[in-house]
Amino acid sequence: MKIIYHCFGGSHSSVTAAAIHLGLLSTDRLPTAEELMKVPYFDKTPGEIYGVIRYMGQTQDGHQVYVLGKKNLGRRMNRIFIGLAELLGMEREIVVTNTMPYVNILMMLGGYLSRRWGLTFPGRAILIWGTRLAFPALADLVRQTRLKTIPGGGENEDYPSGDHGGASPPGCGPRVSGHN
Amino acid sequence: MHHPLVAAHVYLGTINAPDFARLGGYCEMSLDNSGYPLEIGNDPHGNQVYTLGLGRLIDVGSRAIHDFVRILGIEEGELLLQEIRIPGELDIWAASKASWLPGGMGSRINRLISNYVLTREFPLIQRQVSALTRHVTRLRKEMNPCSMAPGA
Repeated sequence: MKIIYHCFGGSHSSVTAAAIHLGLLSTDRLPTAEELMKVPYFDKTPGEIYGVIRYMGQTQDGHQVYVLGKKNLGRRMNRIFIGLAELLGMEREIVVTNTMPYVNILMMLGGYLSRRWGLTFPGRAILIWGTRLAFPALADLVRQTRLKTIPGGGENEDYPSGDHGGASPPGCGPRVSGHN
Repeated sequence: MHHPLVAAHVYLGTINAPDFARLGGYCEMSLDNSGYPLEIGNDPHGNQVYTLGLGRLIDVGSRAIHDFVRILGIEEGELLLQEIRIPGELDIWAASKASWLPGGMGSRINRLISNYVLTREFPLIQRQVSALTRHVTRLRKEMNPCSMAPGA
């Protein structure tokens, strides 16, 4: 199964959630600054990486975990992925999780200073402070996401059962999708 | 749902002139914002045609979609993704933001500007669709070389 955590920049909340999922960060206490900075991609992502799905690692169960910076695509990103997976008959092979609702003002400010302005000195301190504040909620989000990888454990967010205007049974031959 | 919808209908042969009012879902912002692919129809070869709205962040969304399909291990022969880009697409996006205006005014503004831009760029859309059609034909030949051979 593929698990994709996505946020604005793909550098902070999604990466933290993915690290929790992979066991790189323990959930029995708040991480230290050093532990956060050791997480791959944490506050190290250049701006042009938007839209690139990056591999973070594999869980013990064999699930592959990815992160994505999607800028302001918001909740639409979940629906796009789920809709496409449904077209391909693979909706049970992916779990997509939007971590943006768990980003607090400190993470936004610190991330902006660090990534956008290159001011890592005050930026990272503020960012790490904010990430530690958000950590329990992110850990809970990861717990919910893990449940979705268990058969019968739940559905993707924004994946209501039934018709939502898009999918149809797989056809024979290439499917062509024009998009803007 | 604007120029990809028009392109899909041009591809399917539903329209060959700028006549957008009768296209189901045209300027429907709820469909555009939903993020779910919208099924348009089947081409003569049984290929299913969908459209998808990405709003303003087309490059980011497009890259994410291509990466998503790649990590799922899907080949181009199973799912072909085609961006439809036109000058003025930001004008269309901006006009769509007016759809919240009450009394139907927002919808009228959306349609007015969309109609103007899409009529102006209709030949460009047709050219992109022609290129897509040639690409689909090439893919079919690669996937089914025997059925495409003369006399088969």
